Amino acid sequence: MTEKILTARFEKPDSYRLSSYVEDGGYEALKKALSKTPDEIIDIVKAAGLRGRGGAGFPAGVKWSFVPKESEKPKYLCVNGDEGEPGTFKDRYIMELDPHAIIEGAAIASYAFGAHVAYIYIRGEFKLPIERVENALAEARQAGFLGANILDSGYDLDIWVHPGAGAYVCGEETALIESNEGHRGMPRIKPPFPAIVGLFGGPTVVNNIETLSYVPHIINKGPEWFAAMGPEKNGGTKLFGVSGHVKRPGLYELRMGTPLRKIIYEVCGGMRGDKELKAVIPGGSSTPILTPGEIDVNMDYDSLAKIGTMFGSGAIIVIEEGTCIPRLAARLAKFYAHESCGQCTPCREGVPWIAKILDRVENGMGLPGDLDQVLKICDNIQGKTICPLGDACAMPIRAMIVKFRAEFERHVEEGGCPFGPTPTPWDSES
Amino acid sequence: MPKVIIDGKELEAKQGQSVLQVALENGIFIPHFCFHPQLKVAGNCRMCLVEIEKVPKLQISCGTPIRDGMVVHTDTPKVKEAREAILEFLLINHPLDCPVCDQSGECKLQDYTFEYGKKESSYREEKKTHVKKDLGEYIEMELNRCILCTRCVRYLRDVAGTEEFCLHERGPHAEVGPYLEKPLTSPFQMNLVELCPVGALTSKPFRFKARVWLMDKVRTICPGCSIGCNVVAWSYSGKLLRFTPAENPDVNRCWLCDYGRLLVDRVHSDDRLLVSMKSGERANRKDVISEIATKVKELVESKRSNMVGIIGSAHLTNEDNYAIAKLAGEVVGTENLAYMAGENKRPIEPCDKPLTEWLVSDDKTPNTRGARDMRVVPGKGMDVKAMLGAAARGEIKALLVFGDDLAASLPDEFRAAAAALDVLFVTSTWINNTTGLASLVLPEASFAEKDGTFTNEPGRVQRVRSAVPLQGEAAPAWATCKDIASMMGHDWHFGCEAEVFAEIAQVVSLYHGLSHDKIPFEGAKLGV
Ligand SMILES: Cc1cc2nc3c(=O)[nH]c(=O)nc-3n(C[C@H](O)[C@H](O)[C@H](O)COP(=O)(O)O)c2cc1C
Ligand code: SF4
Repeated sequence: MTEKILTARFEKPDSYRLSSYVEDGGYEALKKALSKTPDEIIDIVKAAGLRGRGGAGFPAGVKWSFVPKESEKPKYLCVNGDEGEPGTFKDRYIMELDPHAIIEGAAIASYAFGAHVAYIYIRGEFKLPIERVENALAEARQAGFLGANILDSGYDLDIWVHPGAGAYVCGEETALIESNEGHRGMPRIKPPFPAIVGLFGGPTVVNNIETLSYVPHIINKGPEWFAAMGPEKNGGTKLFGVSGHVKRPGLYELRMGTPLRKIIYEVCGGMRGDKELKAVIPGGSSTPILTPGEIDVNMDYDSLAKIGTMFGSGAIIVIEEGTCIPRLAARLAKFYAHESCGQCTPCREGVPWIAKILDRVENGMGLPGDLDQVLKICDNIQGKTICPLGDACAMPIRAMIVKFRAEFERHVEEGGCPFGPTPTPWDSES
Repeated sequence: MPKVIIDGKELEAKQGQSVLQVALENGIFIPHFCFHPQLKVAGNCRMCLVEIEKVPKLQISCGTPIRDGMVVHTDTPKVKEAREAILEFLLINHPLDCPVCDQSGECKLQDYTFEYGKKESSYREEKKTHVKKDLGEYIEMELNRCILCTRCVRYLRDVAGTEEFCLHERGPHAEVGPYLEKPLTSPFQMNLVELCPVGALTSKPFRFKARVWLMDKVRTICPGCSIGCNVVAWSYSGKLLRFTPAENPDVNRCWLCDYGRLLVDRVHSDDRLLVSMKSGERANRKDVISEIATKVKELVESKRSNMVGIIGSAHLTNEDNYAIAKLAGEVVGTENLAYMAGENKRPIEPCDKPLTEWLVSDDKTPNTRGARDMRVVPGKGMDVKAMLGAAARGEIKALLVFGDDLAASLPDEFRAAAAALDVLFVTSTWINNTTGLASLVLPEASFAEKDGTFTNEPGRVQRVRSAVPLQGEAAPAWATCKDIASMMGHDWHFGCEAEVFAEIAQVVSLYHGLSHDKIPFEGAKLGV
């Protein structure tokens, strides 16, 4: 059941060192890839059904194929290691424990669409991941896996680390590009899309750490092997970061399409203290919440989309009975209000407005009409912003109100929180 | 050529144009805040959202390039609802201090709210506020009114060329402002006043002077330099209160420099000369004219015409200078006619470089080119400096100086000349050392009181229009020349600037075919 691809080497001593990586066959895929044409690589990755693990689930091979072959400006790969989505803790493990897999994957991707410079953008607070990745880059350079004329192939590539400066929105690909250029991390309008005009004006691919880490395995074992591991168009395994009220929270590598119920009740050993399940956030804080009646769903992009939520980053947040959903909503809205870059009107004005109303509701000062007002604001934000951060607030908040409306209404009617001071998963730090 | 259908109208468009550009060009208005034709597209206000067939979400028309066959709707219920929502969002934290806001009447937020907004807000929370920042002498910043369209940030970075503003903070705390808490330095900073679609950036010199809808406006030319920027001159109760840029893609696009803007203060300044003077005493205009005419006549009749020196000015209109040249040539018959020509060595054609690279001329006069075209140039005679020298040596007895402060540009020469001359006649808009040294002084109409034309350095004839009535006893130089000529027995048939120009069009070959009425708003470019 637990298929190990990315986590296979996590428990080895010195797993992050080049010697250990090479001992396990590391950089063989790069060698193999460099003997193929770039188009062959793209076709292999397309056939594998590898979808982006950063949140949107866009097929990686297809994304690479959008980059124009000829370009006056240099092409770039940006590896997204910002890992800002609340609930998500997967990329940091790869960066800490198997950084060479990222480098090898990034090198193959760069070769496939013709980049000679790649950046690994790592969340600034991630001290150890930054250190590990930088050391790994130095090792790879020393060993000739990076630099000029890699493995005598005539292909040159350099990879650098760009530490972030602390903003959730910098994980959004165009904000990441701005930040990587040294500017304030603010999303750009599209078009032009990064594949055409991206980093320093050159064609750019942004891929998540996890996405790229699968690439060497796909090259080594073939696309069929990878595709067969999940449902159609959802190839491979996935790192699920399970948090919240389960017995064994943690990082699990599971096949795409593993049922959510199974993850909660088998993989994670069920609910903490055997309490009743109240709700699940299936893919990070931006994804609409599920009720216990909705957990018989397979964890893949298409199945979750079908029931009106999203796969997101695979960060499953499990919530037990007795947790106050309005408080959760209020806390979440506060997060998004804090993280809005402030650039576009609906997000800058609407998200903090939602946060203020929900805070009132949670604190017993809700007014009749408040909930409909929040839903209205969600409508006025969703689909009308520059980047998806506005949606990332509107969608989960709407789902919470729609699915737990009675609980919100009780807060308004009773003028207070019926749960008293129950901490939600995010309250521990505040 | 790609074709698009906007609101049912089939329109031709150019590849690369945005939906908004095509709509605006074809008279279909889509409300917008952050879009400005001269700035990079930011797409942040979200006011210009439109519905495009086969595209699920609304799209910003400013940032969506047209495609052949695209079908766009700008007025569907979905679009209207989105606009209402954007306006509501922009107003929830807005102070709604319209009665005391100097942007009233020119505020896009106010206008769009009237046109597209809801009448009531659902906002029950506390409004956010921002701390006031001091931007220096010219721009008042009221951040609570700001809608964060970032026009100011983009303008200073991409157009003015002094990247002085940025976005600070984020989310609800986001605000625009200088990187450091320092006053603005750009010599083009006051363009921010018109760029700001709301009352966040207003003009310190102008604010609270008048309600704009009660003001009179006329399109005219800035007298500040040889570029000849097109301006709208705004006045209230006969007082000129501000210049705003008038668009002219071939001259100033839609910008002005601060130096030019601030010249409006000169019209009603305390040093305006408003009365006629003789030997330092107030005199009757007629007497002054008669005295100079008599003196000149005496010299002419005694065949000493060349002892009369006449000096025109690059500050005066073509009509004025034409009359000055005519006085010298036809009436006096002196060869000593000249003016102080300005000089500019910089490129001044509009281009996409920062304004500092093209919207500055070293020649701080508006009509160096025009005065030359009107032949206010030494024939066989002397230039200004030589004339002053001749006057100092007693070779010139009467000097007529129209509208130029020679004591400022050639102080020593002028002083020496003034001391030796029999008669020094001066017309001037302001009291200065030149008028101080003159025996006969007439008040010259200021740039804001004149009709006529200036010809800018690249040879564009542009209409100057009077924005305020003649102040005091002020008169334009052409009328003064006509009066002097008349006293000397020459009756000139023209009675207004348009008629002077009609004669110019006959006499000066470059100006053939032109007339005041025929000069379009963008001016008439001369052949060579
Ligand atoms: C507000 C916001 C935050 C995001 N944060 C991250 C992040 O931390 N890491 C990440 O890989 N993708 C993040 N994304 C998704 C990226 O925009 C982008 O889709 C992704 O990096 C593409 O890589 P992939 O195709 O390999 O998934 C974020 C998106 C948004 C809208
Ligand atoms: S949606 Fe929010 S985060 Fe994204 S660009 Fe707009 S203001 Fe910035």
